Amino acid sequence: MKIRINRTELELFGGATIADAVRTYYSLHKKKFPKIFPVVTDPYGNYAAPDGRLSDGNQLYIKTIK
Amino acid sequence: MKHFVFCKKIMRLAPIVLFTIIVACHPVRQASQPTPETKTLEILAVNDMHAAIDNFPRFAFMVDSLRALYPDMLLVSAGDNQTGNPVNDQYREKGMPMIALMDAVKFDVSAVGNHEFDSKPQGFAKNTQSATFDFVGTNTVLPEGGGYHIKPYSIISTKNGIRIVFVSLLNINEGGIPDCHPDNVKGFSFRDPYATAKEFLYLADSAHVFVFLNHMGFEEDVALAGQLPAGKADLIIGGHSHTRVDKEQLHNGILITQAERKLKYATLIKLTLKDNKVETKTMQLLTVGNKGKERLDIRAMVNQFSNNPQLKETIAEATADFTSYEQLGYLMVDGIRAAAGADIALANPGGVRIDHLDKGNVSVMDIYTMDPFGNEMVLFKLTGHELKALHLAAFTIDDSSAIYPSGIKSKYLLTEKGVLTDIQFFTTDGNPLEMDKTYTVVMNNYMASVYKYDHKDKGQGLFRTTAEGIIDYLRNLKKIPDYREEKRVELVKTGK
Repeated sequence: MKIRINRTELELFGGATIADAVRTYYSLHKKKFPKIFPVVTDPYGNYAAPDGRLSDGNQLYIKTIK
Repeated sequence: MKHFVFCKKIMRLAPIVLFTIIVACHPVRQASQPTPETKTLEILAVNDMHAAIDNFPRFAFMVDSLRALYPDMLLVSAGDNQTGNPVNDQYREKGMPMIALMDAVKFDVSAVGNHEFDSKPQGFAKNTQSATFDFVGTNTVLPEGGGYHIKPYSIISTKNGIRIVFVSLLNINEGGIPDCHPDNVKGFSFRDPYATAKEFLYLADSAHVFVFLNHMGFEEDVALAGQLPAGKADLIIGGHSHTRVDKEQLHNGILITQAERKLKYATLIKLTLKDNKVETKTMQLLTVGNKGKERLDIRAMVNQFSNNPQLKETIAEATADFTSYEQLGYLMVDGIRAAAGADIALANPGGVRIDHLDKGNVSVMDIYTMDPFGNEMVLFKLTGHELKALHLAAFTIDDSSAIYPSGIKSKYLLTEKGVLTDIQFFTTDGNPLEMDKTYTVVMNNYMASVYKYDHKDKGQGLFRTTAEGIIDYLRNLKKIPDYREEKRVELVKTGK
C-alpha cells in the first residue's frame, strides 16, 4: 500500500493506520518521534485520528516536525 | 395629527388584516397553486464507535434530548461499532454489549464496518440477529445459510412522510476483502464499491432522500461523490478513516460527514425538503465524550458489562513464576506465533510491560497488563538475510536491546564497547538457520512501521491484536511451561 505524507511517498504494510504511517515517516527521515502525536490532516484539512485506517493512494499532511 | 394617529393604528393592524386576508383566500390559492410543503429531517450519525461503551450513558442522554426536539430524528452508525475494548471484545458472546447498547438507544440503521467481522462468522451472525436495527452491506455478498441479518439497503419512512434510502459501501483492500482477518470473511465476497454505488442509484427514484452510509474512508467518499451523477445522492455519512469533519463539506453537491471515532463526537445533520426534494443540508459536530448528564439505565448496563467476569477468568495456569521481561517476552512471542500460524514471531523489548507474573492462575487482564498497547499482528514473508537486516536495524532503535524471538534463536556478536558487528541465527534445536530460505514472520505493527531494512514483502496486517492472539494461545495451552531456564538470545562480546 502506497500513501503520501507531505511530499514523501511511503510503502506500508496492508492495513496500516495513520499512526503506522507517521511512525514510518519519522523513521525514514531519521527524526525523533515527538512525545505528543503530531496533528495529521487529510487533503481537505480535516483532522485524521492516529488509529484511522489508510487505503492505497491516501494523502496526509503533518504540519510541523520538530 | 389625527390623520397620523389613524395611520399608526392602521399600521399596527396591518399584520392582522394581512393574515385575515391570507386565511380567507387560502382555499382559493390551494386550488390554483399549491404551497410548497416544507419538511425537515434530522439524522444523528456516529461512526467507528469501537466499543467505547464508557461514553454510551452520555451519548444516550444526548440522543434523548435531541429526540425531544426532533421526534422523527434517525440514529445511524457508519460501522465499526465493534473492537477496541476488552470489556466488549472478551465478552462471552463477543460484541454483544455493543449490540445491546445500540438496541437500548434505538439505533435505526448501521453500516457493516470491517471490524463487525471480528466477532467471527457465528458471532457476527448472532449479533446481526440480535440487533433491532438494520445492518446494511450493499457491496457485501453474504454466504448462503450463514444466518446473517444484513440487508443490501434499508428504506425508512418517517412520520412526516419522508422516505429515506440507506445504501452502504464497505472499503475493500488490495486482497479483495475488508480490513479484517481473512478467516472471518470466509464464504463472503465483496463487490467493487464504486460500481455497486452506481447500480443502486435507481433507488433514488423511489425515495425522497438518498444516503450513503459508508465505511470506506473520507478520501474514498469524496472520490465516490465525484463519480456520481449530480442530484442523485444527498448525503454520505462515512467512517473508517476516523476523520473529524467539523464543518459542512459539499462535494459534487453531496454533503459528506464523519465524526472521528469512539463516541468522542456525533454529527447532527439537518435536511429541509420542499415538495419532497432536498433543498438545504447542514451539519453540526456535537461533542459526546463522557462528561455531563447521563441516562441512568444505560449507565447501569455499562456498569454490568464492565464487571465482565470473563476478564478475571483464568485462561491458563503458570507452572512457575515469571521473573523477567525476557521470560514474559518469550511467552508473548510463542503466543503470537501460534495465533498467526507463522514460522517465526518477534517482539520488541519495549513491548513487554511487566517483568513478573506469579505462578498460578493467569487471567485475561494479566495479558492486557503485559501487552496493553493494542498493537496488531503483521505477517511478512522474509528470507533469513532480510530477517538479519531487520535485527540489525532494530538493535539501534531499541537502545541496544535484543529482539525476543520464537521459532529461532539468535546470537549477537558485539565489540567490547557494545557495538554490534554481526548476528547469527539458529533453529530452535541449535542448527544454523538457512539464510536463503523464506519464512513467515509475525511481529506487531509498531515494529513493522519503525524498523527500516530492505525487504521485498511489505507485509499484511492480520487485524487482530497481539494480546488477543496470546489469550487464544493460552486458552488452548492451559498449562504454561516453566520459562526460567529459557535462553533464546545470546549477546557475546568478541573483542574490539
